[in-house]
Parts: sequence; C-alpha cells; structure tokens
Amino acid sequence: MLIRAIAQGDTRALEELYARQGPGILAYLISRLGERQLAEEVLQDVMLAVWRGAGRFRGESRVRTWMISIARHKAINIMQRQRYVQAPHIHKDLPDPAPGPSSLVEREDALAQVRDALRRLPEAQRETLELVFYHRLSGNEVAQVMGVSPGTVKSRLHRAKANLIQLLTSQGEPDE
Amino acid sequence: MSDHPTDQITHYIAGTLTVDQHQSIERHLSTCPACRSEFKEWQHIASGVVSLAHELTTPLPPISPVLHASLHSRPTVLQALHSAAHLIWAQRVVIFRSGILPATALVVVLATFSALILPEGNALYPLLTAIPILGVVITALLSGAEGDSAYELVASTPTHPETLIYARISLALGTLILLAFAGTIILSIFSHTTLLGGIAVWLAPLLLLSSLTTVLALVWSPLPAAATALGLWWGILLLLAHQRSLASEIPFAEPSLLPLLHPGPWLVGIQILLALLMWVAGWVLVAHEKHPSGFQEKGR
Repeated sequence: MLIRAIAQGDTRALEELYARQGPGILAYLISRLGERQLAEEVLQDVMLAVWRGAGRFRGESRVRTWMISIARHKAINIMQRQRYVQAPHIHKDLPDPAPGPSSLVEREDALAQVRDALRRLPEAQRETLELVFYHRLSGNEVAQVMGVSPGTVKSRLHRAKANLIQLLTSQGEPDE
Repeated sequence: MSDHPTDQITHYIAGTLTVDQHQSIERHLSTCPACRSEFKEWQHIASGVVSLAHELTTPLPPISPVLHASLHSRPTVLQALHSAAHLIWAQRVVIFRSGILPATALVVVLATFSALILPEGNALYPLLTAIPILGVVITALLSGAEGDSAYELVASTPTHPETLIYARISLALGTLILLAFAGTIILSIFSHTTLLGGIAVWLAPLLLLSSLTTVLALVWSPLPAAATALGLWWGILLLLAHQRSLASEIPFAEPSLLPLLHPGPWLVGIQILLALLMWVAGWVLVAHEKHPSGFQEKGR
C-alpha cells in the first residue's frame, strides 16, 4: 500500500518506504560500488526514481525486487559512465572485527575467512549470493533483477560454492 | 522433485520456498546425509554472506534536502528534451544487439543497387517498396514484449515499457532514414533521379506506415498490426503497378496512385501530417494509460 500512497504524492509514505527498504538497498549499492558515499548518493537517486515511477508500478514483482532492479540499473550506469573500475573485490571503510571470548573468536575467524573468500569471488557470483541469502530473493526474482535466466542463477550459485571451496582450501584463483 | 533437491537447499536456507517445498526439503534432509552435508556447507556460506552484508550496513542517512526539493519539481523543457535524447541514445545497445542495424543496412544497399540497375522509369520502385516495408517490420519487431526480454524492461523501470519501445522505434527508424537518405544521394548521383524526388517517394509512406503500425500495435498487437500495414501497402503497390501498366494505353479513371511515384509537395505534406497526428495519438495513448484496476502491492 505504500507504493500506492507514494503514487498519490504522499511524501511520508516515501519516507516510510525509505526507512524500511533503505538499509538493504544501501548495503546492496555499497557492495556494488565499493564506496559508501557514492552509494548514499545513488540511493537518493533510487528513491527519486521510485517517487516518479510509483504510479506505473504494476505489482508484478515485489517492491524490494523492483527497488533492487532500479538500484542495479543505476549502479551499472554509473560504472559504465565513469569507466568505474572497482578495486578487485576489496571494499573500503570496512571495520575490523572486534575481539572477544576465544570460542567467539574462533567462530569469527572462520566467518572472517569466508568473508575474505567472498570478497575474492567474481562480481556476478558474489552478487547472486547476496541477492539469495541477504536480500532473500527467490531464484526467479534474482534472474529478473540480474537479467539472466533462472538456469544461469543456479549455475552461478554452484560455481560460487565451488570457487569458495577452492579459495578456502587455498587452491588457487576463482573461475568466472 | 528430484531424488536430491540440491538446487533448492540455498532457497531453503534463505527461507524463500513455499511452505510445502520447505517441509519437503526438511523431510529429505532428515534422511539424506549427503544433502545434509551440502546444507551445512551452504549454511556456512550464507552466514558469511549475511555477515559481509552487515559489515556494509551503515546508519541510514536521512533523505537529502535536494531529494525533498526534487519531489515536487517538474523538469524544464530542456531537461525533458535531454532526458528523451538520453533515453533514445541508450537504446542503441538493443538496436545493435538485435541485428536490426545490419539487416536494415543490407536491405537499403540492395534497394539502392536495384534502383541503379533498373531502367529509368522503374528506378524508384525499389525505394518505394523496400523502405516503407522495412519501417513496418522494424516497428513491429520492436513493439511489444515479443521484441524484448521481460527482465530487461523490469530492470529499466521506472521508465514505462511503452516509453522505452517508442524510444527504440525512434532510434531504429531514424537510422533507417539516414541510411535511405544516403542511398538516395547515391541514386541521384548515378541516375536521373533528383534527390528531393527520390526522398519524397519513400519518406512520407515510411512515416505514415510506421505510425500506423505503432498505433495498431499499441491498441492491438504487433503481429496483426504489421500484417495490416503490410497488406495495405502491398495492395497499394499492386494497384500502382496495374495502373502504371495501363497508363500508356488508357486514360484511367480516378483515383490514380501514379502520383506516388512522383509525389508533389502537397501529397508529401499530407502524408507527413497524417503520420505526425498518428504519432502524437500514440504518445497520448501511452501517457494516459490507466493504472490497472485491482492493483495490489505483493511485496513486503
């Protein structure tokens, strides 16, 4: 119902949608663009696009899927326009994990290894994993957002897993 | 479901399966050690993905004052024109990827070559025939979902799909006009055809038939729209050929289609005006498309 209210010019509905979906979209953009400030600027563009397009949203997909699609399109535009070259899977401004009790540290170490391996994955595979596990999109929705077939989504997931195993066992560089 | 539903384990972990699918996977995992092992591997990966994404999550900044100011502002004419030009130019990827450009160039080259080798009296027939037909085919190909992956249209929102299609048709027809113009220049250099006369023969019918196809595709469907326009043009050409063959023997009765071969400024002007009116009608139809009734927000 928020989209319908936004379509009728309700700015408070836009603010509420921003509060609900903003954090997830921002995390997505930071992951794509690698720069927090740029991601925040693009997020504002995404909200403006939502405001202008709310009247034409047909409800054929979930709102979140629609917004991620818009965010992805804008991120790709920026990367193409600026000949944007992201540092190979390295994200800026990442906090160091805080120390803690030994069992927690061991668990955190294992998790940190997985995070490091994820950062070294090819972009398309990492994006697919994020859309499935963090943004919780179905296989068809991921295919919709990324502009590929559901079969390609499945094969990217499997290649991502194979690459992660390879990276975690230190057997070389990941395959695209 | 297969014996080992490994493709669904990721979505089981993410919680995006239906209730039935979820329960089915749960039952399978309780009895299959291989899939349980796969599940644990994916669970570990999922934890890493979520943990990495949480690292990137920051306090959400407030909606910027610039955005607030933009919410109720309307673009200026210059901004609207700039957006339209940018949108049309952005369609070049689709035009190139779909093979429309090389196919158009090939047909125009063949039509020009045919015009050059035909006797002077028939030189204009290839342009009169091929260019408008090519316009109809291009318009029909680019209209409707059959001409595009649905995923791309969704990913291009919030631009309305019909707006995108109009932009693509504009770019493709603009390219056709440039190529046909180049062909007509060559014809005018190497034959007795005048440049203006050559352009007048194909330009107005191209615009008229393309506009007709576009409007029919909007209210109907691309395939029957193209069939109607092509059928109409084919009928006109047959009648023209018939009248031309009789012209030297019998002073035929009105209406005569022979002016199509050497259209005067009035005939060209009327056709272009009709084409413009139909094009505007098409934009009005697109702009005033009603929100579907029974709209429901499906998502969270």
